Amino acid sequence: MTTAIEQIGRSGMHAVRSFWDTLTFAFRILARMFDVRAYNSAVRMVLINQIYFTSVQILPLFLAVAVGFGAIVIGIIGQYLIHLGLFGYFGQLLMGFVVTEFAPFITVLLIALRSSSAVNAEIAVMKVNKELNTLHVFRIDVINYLFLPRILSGILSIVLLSWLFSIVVLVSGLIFSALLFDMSMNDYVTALLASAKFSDLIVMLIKCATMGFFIVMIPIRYGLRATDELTSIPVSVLHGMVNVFIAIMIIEVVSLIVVSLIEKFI
Amino acid sequence: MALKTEWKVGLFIVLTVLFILAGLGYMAYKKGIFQPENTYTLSSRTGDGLSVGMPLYFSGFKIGKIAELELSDKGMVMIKITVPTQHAKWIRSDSKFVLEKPLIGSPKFTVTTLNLSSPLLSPNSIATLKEVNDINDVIQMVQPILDQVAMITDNIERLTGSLADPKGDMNKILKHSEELTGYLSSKKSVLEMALGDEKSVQNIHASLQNARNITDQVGKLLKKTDEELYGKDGIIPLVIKILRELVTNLDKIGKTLDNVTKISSNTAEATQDLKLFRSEVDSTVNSINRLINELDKKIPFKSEPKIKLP
Repeated sequence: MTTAIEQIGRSGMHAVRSFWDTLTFAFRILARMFDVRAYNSAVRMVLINQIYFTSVQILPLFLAVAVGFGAIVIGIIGQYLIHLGLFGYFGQLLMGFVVTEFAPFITVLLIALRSSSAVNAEIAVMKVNKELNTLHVFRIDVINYLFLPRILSGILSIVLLSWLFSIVVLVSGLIFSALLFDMSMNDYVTALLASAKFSDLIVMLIKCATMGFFIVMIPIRYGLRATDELTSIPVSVLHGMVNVFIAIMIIEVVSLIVVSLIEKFI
Repeated sequence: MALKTEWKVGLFIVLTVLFILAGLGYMAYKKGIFQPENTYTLSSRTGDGLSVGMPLYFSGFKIGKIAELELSDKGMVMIKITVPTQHAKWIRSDSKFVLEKPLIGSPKFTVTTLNLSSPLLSPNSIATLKEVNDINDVIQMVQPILDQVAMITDNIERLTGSLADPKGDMNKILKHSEELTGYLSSKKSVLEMALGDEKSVQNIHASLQNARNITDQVGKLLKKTDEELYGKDGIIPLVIKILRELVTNLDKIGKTLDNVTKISSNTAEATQDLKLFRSEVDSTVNSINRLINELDKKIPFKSEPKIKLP
């Protein structure tokens, strides 16, 4: 009995310590992010490469997914709304669900599956191969050179790709609404504009930036936990990805609470 | 390779940002953010139900919003509303601003203009905001009912107090009821319960027996009377028979009288018919006598007809 309670206490303390370490690490990265001296030419080069790997390379697949998901989701939502006699809420559902919730979520999932796991594995391999020690020996700041470009790339990619996803979904929605529901462009645009709120878009922007930050920062953090053994690489990637998904869920819930508070008090 | 990558990344960022800005700009333009606005000031007794950003509706369409709320030196709530210039034409000097507070749902801020040819409302003038409160109207309608409910509640309270009081009226009634039901349960019949005395019950039974006997006798009497009146040998058939005979005889008399008339005209020749006439008259008189005798015997319905001898 005592051992079980001790085990629970140990796990709880470990979770709290881990959470605190992650937050401390996040604040260190944030502080460095606003330090202009951190952005030298090498960092800028790495940043461009990271944006290329994270956003540009994925673009064809991403746009195809956006068009496909947009058509499916808009078709299903429209059919259900017609069935329920609530087609008047079509614009609200598109703006409230597809743009502000669905688009960031799909984007974050795609980037997390493709780039977060890659970053996690990359950092873990560098740790196992003691490349991080080498950089340290050459007095190269790993935060500036390795972490900051990747995290900035994550933020920028998620923000831009989420908006792009929303635009593509809305444009495909325009086409599919005309084809499936015989909805004119004017009606479609009017319905969207009536439901669009700048406050929702600002919350979406902040949410995307926050997700972009954490879905790269958490894999880096777990990559650094790899030991000298090669077998620790998949373990660190596994833990890192699980925590990335937990972070995505927490950010989604917090954003929903923030939106509801904004609607209540403002 | 590096240049190519930089070019691709730059193009991606620039195009995406342009798309986003174009979308936001279009949205802002369509929402009228870049349009010039007219500001009007309204005054209200209370700011209850009003909030900054609350939309202003005209004929169900949103044409403006509340931009600012402030309290004047006189304690009035000053409401500043902004209306895009394209919608300013709907707001005239005689427009009525109303804050509708429905019983269910959030308040609605509306403007109505009956005469669109009136001059436009000056931004410097201060219009009055009228409040239509469904809740107050309902309360006014419900108030008499509530008063009655309060009275009923008082009565119920009194009743329950009386019930709870061991010396109260209700307890007295219950006690009396208990005594009464106990008393009634000791009686043998409902009649005894009602009269409270067994001897009286016996008297009633005797009276009922007498009444039954009398009824039987009356029944017999009525049957007998019916037989005497309408029976085969009763009065009515006899009277009918006599009357028929009388009619027959009267016909004969009539004929005889005709003959008498003839005889009187021919006195000499008529003397031979006088005998016949005499016998007919006698017969008639005898029939009438018989009828009178029969009637005399029957009336007044004596059980045994008696013949009164001369």
